[in-house]
Amino acid sequence: MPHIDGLSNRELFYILNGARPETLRRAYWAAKINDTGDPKQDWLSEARTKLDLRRGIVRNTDWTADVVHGGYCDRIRELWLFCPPNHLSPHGNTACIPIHEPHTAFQFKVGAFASNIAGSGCQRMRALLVGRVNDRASGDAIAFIWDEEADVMWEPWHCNLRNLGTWRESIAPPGTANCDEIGVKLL
Amino acid sequence: MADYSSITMQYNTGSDASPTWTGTALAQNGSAGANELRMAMSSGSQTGSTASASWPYMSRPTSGTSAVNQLWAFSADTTGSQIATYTGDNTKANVLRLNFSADGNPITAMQFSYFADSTLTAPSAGTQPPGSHNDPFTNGQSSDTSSTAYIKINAFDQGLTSGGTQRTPSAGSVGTNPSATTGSAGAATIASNAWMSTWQSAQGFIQYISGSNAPQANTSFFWYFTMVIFLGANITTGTYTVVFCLQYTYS
Repeated sequence: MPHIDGLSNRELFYILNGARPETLRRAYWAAKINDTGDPKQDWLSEARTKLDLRRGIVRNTDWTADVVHGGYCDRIRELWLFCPPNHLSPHGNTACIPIHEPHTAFQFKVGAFASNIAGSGCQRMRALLVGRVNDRASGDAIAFIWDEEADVMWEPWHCNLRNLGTWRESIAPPGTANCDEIGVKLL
Repeated sequence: MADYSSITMQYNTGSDASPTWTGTALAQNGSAGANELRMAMSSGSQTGSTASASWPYMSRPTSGTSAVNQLWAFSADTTGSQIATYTGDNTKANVLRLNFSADGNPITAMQFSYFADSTLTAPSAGTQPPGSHNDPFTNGQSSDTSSTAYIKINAFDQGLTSGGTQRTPSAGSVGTNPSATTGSAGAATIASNAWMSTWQSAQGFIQYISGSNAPQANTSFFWYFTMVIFLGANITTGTYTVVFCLQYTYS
């Protein structure tokens, strides 16, 4: 099992784009892809922004567009989740999943579009999941979940990418994951 | 960008045979009567310029159940039109649709249903009067609805297949006409290139509709759906604003 050294202040400053963990307003993922000692070479972080020349916008680092299509899925060593301050943890939460095999790390979000009958509508993120496939044949996996609505980081959730269930009643079971979009290769 | 930059709900202002969807998108985050779908009975006094606060009450039946027979869409407090193809039964196909932008990366199938409010608290099946963050419509009642929701829903396929084919319904009937007791536990999965034969109850994610797999990424599409709202003799009276919720995943 790879040894997890944790994060230096320099790395954390880079990963969170200069923000302190206790000032986060939303959750972010970060993936360690190298071990040079230079955060710019070692980390891909959703909290960091980049210029998207194709779309002509500045956007956050995107899992599918940058990690998967950038060819980094076989290089991820650690997958981190940074959660904002919440009612159970005033300084926020942090989770780290060591990645043992290529193409077993994954990240995705649960979103919702809600529109009232006699009211207005909104689009929002309900949860952010980071995880690791433990058995590529069966699809069994483990994930940490930042639950935006419950305002907590859940304890490790045992799931299966071939048939994703749910961790609480108000979240519908998402079903089978499209592994190509998240960079996972099942057997 | 992995999330859809735009998801809107559109309603048909034309006929079933010649639907008109242009300019009917209900935008997000309206207030004071703007961007609303409102239910009504044909016996009511509502018009396209009736303010939200003046919207007429509907009387529950003295016995049994009956369908709400009008649905109106308002872009502003006093600017609205009746959705002519909402008839309170299964006779019209082109009623409502979701409009997705071309920049989303869905990871799994999508699901939708109704909840009491934006907290998306799970309904309590059969409970009248409803508790906190519940409502009588999604809770249902034992004798009126067999504890399913008073709202019934149907969807035409999942809108866009994983291979990128847009599924669009023809005019006409939608499955078997639902009754107030229609609905089954868990997810009702859509039918391929068709409406579901049996409608589903919209009771949070206790009873809901699910697609079969993730739609193709980075592709705009429409997902056509419809609904029938019932009233029953045992529904708790009051003023309610139920919430339509589409759940999806993205990277």
